Amino acid sequence: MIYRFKKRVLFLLIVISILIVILALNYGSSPITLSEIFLKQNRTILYLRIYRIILGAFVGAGLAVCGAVLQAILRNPLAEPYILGTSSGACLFAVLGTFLNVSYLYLPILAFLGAVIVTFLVYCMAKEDGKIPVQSLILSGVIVSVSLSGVIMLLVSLSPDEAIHGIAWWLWGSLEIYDFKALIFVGAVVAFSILIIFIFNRELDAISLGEEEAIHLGIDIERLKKIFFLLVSFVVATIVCICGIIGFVGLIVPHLVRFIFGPLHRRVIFYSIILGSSFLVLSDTVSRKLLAPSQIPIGVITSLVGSIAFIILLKMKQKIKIR
Amino acid sequence: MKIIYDIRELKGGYGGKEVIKGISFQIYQQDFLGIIGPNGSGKSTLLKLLTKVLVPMGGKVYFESKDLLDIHLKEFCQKVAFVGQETIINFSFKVKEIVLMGRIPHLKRFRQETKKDFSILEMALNLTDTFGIRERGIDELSSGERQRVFIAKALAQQPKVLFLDEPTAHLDIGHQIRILELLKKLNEDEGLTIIVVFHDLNLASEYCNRLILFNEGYVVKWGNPSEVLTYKNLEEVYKTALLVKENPLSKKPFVILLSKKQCEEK
Repeated sequence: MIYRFKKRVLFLLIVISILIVILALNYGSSPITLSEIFLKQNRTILYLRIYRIILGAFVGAGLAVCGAVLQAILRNPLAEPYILGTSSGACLFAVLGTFLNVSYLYLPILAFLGAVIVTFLVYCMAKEDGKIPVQSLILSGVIVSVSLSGVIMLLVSLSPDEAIHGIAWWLWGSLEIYDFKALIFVGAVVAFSILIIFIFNRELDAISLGEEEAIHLGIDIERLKKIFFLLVSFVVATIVCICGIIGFVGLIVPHLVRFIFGPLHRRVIFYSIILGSSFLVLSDTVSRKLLAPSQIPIGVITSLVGSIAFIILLKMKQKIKIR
Repeated sequence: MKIIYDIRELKGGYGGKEVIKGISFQIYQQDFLGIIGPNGSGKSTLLKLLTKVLVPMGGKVYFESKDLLDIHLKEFCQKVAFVGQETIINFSFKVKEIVLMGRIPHLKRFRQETKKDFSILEMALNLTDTFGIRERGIDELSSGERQRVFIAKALAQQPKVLFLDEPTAHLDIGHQIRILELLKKLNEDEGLTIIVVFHDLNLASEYCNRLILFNEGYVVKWGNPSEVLTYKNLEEVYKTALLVKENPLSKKPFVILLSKKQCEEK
């Protein structure tokens, strides 16, 4: 349907993205608007806002593309970047760090370590004589996530009040960033991984027809699954250790993109980057503006907007089917 | 006649359990080979062993005189295509997008599809009579149309050998004949070697020049339809009452199933 007006839709999306960036530059925790932000005395605030926009764009794109990849290789419409347990590992280690009074400077490193360890655990659980069956992968990811969130709950309930705030930050996600190096790190990891994923776009198309179908098209699916598993885990670990858990972007954006532009992965990946990043930057702006000066966690906004969008999408799909 | 597949003492199965228990036969160029046998006799497993989906547990498969294990998967898929039983697809790909995926084994990485690929796409759509539905979503089609789309995808691979696993299982008799006529045409005009798993013995008898009767992982009989479809062979394998007559027009064997009562009266 909208499919036919691809060029116009792309143009519209670019315009919307630019508007979102302007909006994001205009609003922040300090009451400085667009007209004043380029003044010399506001340089630091300008930089902070730009960092935040860039981080939001990279994180949104990364989560959306990872979601699209997992939905394709796991052939499960509910797959999202956190389904493999990576995020719960990061969270557990971060919470553990807070609990043990580790300096907040080292928390991202600790979280990254946790993500890597838990992902490896999930991978080993799912592995079966050199192969990774996707059903086992989903199940072990879910089991590990559930059991770890039990442990996280326990730690939270034992924590003193002041520590809870820091922990909540991990659970709901935030795009707060002060360190330019962290931004470079996230940007490099996301950009590199998306590039590799894009190179394999045809393989993703084939594997969405089924694993055996993909073998009959000459694709080494076990190798492919390992590559994607590694890339996705790497991206998610990086994002979670800097920004905490930002839900729903990785689930809803790929569905939306497929609904509008069809399921071919070269389009799905391309438009997931655009829609994912603008959705997250917009959500972040709304989360700062809505109840200013206090900030709502960005995860609240993405879940609320995401679930409404999901329901609308579902209803539209049903209508099309009936017709 | 040139041998395409030479299968020697082949054994294979899943998870340590042997389903195929040591079989040997040859497939010749331009054969229209039917594989028949009861449920669970190992027909689908055999197809997986012959198309590099499963690795044999014992014995050898030679494809064009080369050991199948030594042939690179991508190279192999430029010559051999496969059409499965009904495929379930989550995403609503368009027909032309699915058929174009048949070109994947021929494409180099970083390369776009060329004019040649699109003309092959058009040919595959035309051959299978799916050109008119090329813009439709795969989830909007009937089972018969969908099966033709998957045959078109296989043809876009430009294979020498085409495997089909019960291609007519969910179709009405009209669509069954349409699919089989299409395969026959490809077999005769394009010289395609076709290997089909069948449940319907009469369709197998009508269309195949060679049949393999399978039971419990062994080959019971291998030969032309009148050698394989005999009362003795079929009763032994299917353990059911039946009559084998000759089709008055094609002179091929024709199997009639009997109810228990008729059998007793006889």
